[in-house]
Amino acid sequence: MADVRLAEVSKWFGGVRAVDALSLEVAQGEFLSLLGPSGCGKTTVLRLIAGFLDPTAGEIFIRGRSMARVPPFRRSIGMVFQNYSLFPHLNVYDNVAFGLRIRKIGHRTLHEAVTEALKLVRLEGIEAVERRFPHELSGGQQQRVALARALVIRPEVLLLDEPFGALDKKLREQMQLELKGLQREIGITTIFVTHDQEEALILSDRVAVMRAGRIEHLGPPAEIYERPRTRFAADFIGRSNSFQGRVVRDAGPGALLHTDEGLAIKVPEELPEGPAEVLLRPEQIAISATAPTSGADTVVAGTVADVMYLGTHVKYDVRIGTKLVEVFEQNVGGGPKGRYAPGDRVVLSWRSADLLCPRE
Amino acid sequence: MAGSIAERVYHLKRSRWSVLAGVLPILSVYVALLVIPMLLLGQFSLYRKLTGEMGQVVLIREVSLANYAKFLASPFYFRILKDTLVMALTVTGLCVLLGYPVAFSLSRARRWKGILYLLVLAPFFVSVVIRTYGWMVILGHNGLVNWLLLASGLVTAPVPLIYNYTGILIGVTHIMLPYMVITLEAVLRKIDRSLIEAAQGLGANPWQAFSRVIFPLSLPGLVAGSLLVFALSVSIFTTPSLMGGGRIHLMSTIIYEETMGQVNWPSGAMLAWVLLVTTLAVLGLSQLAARRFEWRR
Amino acid sequence: MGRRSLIGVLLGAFNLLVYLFLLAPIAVVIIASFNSSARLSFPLEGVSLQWYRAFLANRELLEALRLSAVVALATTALALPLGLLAAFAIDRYRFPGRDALSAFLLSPLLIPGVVLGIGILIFYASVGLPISVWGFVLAHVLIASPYVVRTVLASLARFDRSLEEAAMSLGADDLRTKRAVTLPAIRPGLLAGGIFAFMTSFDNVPLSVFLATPTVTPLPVKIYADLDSHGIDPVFTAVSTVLIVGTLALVLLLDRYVGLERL
Repeated sequence: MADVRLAEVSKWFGGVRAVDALSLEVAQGEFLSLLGPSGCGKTTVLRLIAGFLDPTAGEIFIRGRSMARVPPFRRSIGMVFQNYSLFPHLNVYDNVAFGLRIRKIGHRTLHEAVTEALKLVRLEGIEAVERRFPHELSGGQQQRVALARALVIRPEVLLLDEPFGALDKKLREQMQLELKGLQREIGITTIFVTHDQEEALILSDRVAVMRAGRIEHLGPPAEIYERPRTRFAADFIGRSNSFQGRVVRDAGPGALLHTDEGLAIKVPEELPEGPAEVLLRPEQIAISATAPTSGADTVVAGTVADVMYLGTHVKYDVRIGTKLVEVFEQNVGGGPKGRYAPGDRVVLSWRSADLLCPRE
Repeated sequence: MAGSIAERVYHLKRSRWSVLAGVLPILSVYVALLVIPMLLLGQFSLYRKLTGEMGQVVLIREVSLANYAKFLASPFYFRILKDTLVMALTVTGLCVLLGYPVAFSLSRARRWKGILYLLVLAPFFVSVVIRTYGWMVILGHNGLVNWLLLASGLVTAPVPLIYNYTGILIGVTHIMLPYMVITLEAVLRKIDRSLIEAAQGLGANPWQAFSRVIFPLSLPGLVAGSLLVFALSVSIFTTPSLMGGGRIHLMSTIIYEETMGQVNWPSGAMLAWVLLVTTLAVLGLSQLAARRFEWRR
Repeated sequence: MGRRSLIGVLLGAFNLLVYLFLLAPIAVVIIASFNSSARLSFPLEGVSLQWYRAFLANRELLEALRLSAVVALATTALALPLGLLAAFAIDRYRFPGRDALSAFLLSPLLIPGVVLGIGILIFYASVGLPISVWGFVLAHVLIASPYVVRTVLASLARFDRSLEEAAMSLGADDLRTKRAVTLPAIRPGLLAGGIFAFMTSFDNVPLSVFLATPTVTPLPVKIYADLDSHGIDPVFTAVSTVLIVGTLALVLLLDRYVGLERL
């Protein structure tokens, strides 16, 4: 049964539809990310679930119970805010204990719960951490306190609003791992808002790519990346080369796309005839001096126009006729000798099965 | 070789001497009109006034602590000092009661915020004499309030609302309220809305969110506003002088009375020193308190 | 939800009463200034401009108004450059006693007016300075300059120094830089400080009351003295209304160009 269910939920701000007839089901224990650019409505969805906003239309259910007319403080949610929103006048212990005191939890139980929560977020080791005030903590520690404060009340749903946005890259990666482990450990239904595609892919059981108040594609990370349903989802996540043209079925097997630049490339058979666009991830193209890689069914010759060194891989811009194609090549070592230079003649090859054919 | 005038000005400006050039003019004004007068005030408070046989005023330029001894020995002066402090404390309390809800609403207002803010500030920009005059018109024997009370049949004779303690309280509270509201509002405005949401998310109802998060966080503003209002109320002159009508005396009005009415400058100077020390003590305490109540973010 | 809105309604009603309290004396004075009866008593009778005519016919009041205006203008003209220079020195240089100096410069705001009044009275008497316009101006400069220092300091603190560096790197000399870059940036602070200085002088009673003589009396002292000795005189409703409208115009100007919330 779905733990959180949104049924045709809309939220209008004046004339602007921040959320547009959105339906969504989040299963018990699932980690779901709402991913999209700023202004796509993802934070609004979170705030609707939390109850800080009332939907203009539609209904929200948590564990089957309608949340209409249920104020935020009567919903069983744990929320972690973008800037943590720790109470500056309370120390770590009192911040974590806040929700328990509201619930009039007894002294002993409260102490045990707070200690356990601090342990859960790995804050127990730091000396006298309970008595420190938020401004005396590092960003990562504040993050952990915010998480402990949200979890200690044993909420039915955990809501996270870009919680790692303020952390530097290293710390962010560490916190992501910890959050994932923690979430698995306690099995709490989690809804996570982010604009960082990598973060969404790493953490989530399912990702909802949002745009203009609607969900463009909802699915597991691999599906989102490898079979994006819409052009927007394909574009927003990862990089891709676009080929536009007309699909023509010739006498032989399969179909060909005659691109606007005058190329003819093999496309999956299920593509209907007529105008079409296919996308190809730069890392799924192999680059070589002469012989194409085995398994590839499309081979094109071109000239290297530009080379960009990116550490883990090298990016080539390869000119094929009038078309520039972006290619990533894994940095397999061996130094700069093995690489291509601008002006080199190269051969690009790929599997036509790797082409992305999103329905618009 | 020395370069252009502009270059020389530039190098001169980098030297410390230019600090003096900047502050010397204002310092000379302060020395003449603040430092010297305060020293003279101290000097005069040690003199004595005698009334001659013909009623003329004679100043005895002989140093003694007689004036201060008179103050300490006199229940009259002590009462005035006590009344002044009690009045200031009551006004402070009234300002908290009236000002907190207004400041709270103002800090959360979105529409009309500018107008509401302007309405709170408007009294600031109207002369204190005029505002006190307005209260005299409203509260006087033939004033608006007495007319309303008589017309409604609640009273049969006009109620004395000015020339007494009540009048002073109303008038001074009116002068001080804007100070309280803007000080409080400045602190309340800085309280992040997401903290209230965080509290609600943790199960706090609006009242709990207020009493456990907003109110404690607004304490620095409450303390700062209260001490400001208290310090200003202790020394306020115009309003209590007019609203008291010479019947109720406070420190500031008795200083004026002794100096200008009795032409007893030494006694006035002594009382002025007492008031100055009282005010500075309050402000000193407020500094200490402000530091204690500072929540760093 | 219903409970929340009940609290909201109660809060709104309470606030309305407080706003009424804040604005009542001002509103009543303005309304009463158009009253046609001979005594200021409620209920008001007809509408007339008699108190405005009485004001315009009262030479003493007009003279007091003129004196107040002259003193306030002269005070502002002196306090602005004094405060500006001092604020610059404090903002731009690090020297021992800097914090103490700025606290000292702001101290007249904290000293009771009557204390300053009697002190300055004794000072003037000691040096034999006769009571004159200049006596008021000098005393008022003392209580007006702190406002200028404070507002200009606040403006300078917000000012991005790299703008000056940019101007200098483009070849503007020091004076040119100050004139073309710095002064325009701190103009709101200067304007606010000037208006505060003017109003502080124009409104002052506790200090001026010690310096006034029967012939040299600023307007607020004149109103104060008359109210103190003769009680409620209706002519002051007209005087007050004229002053309220005048300051209101000034406040709107201030809000327009500076923004009251930034003060």
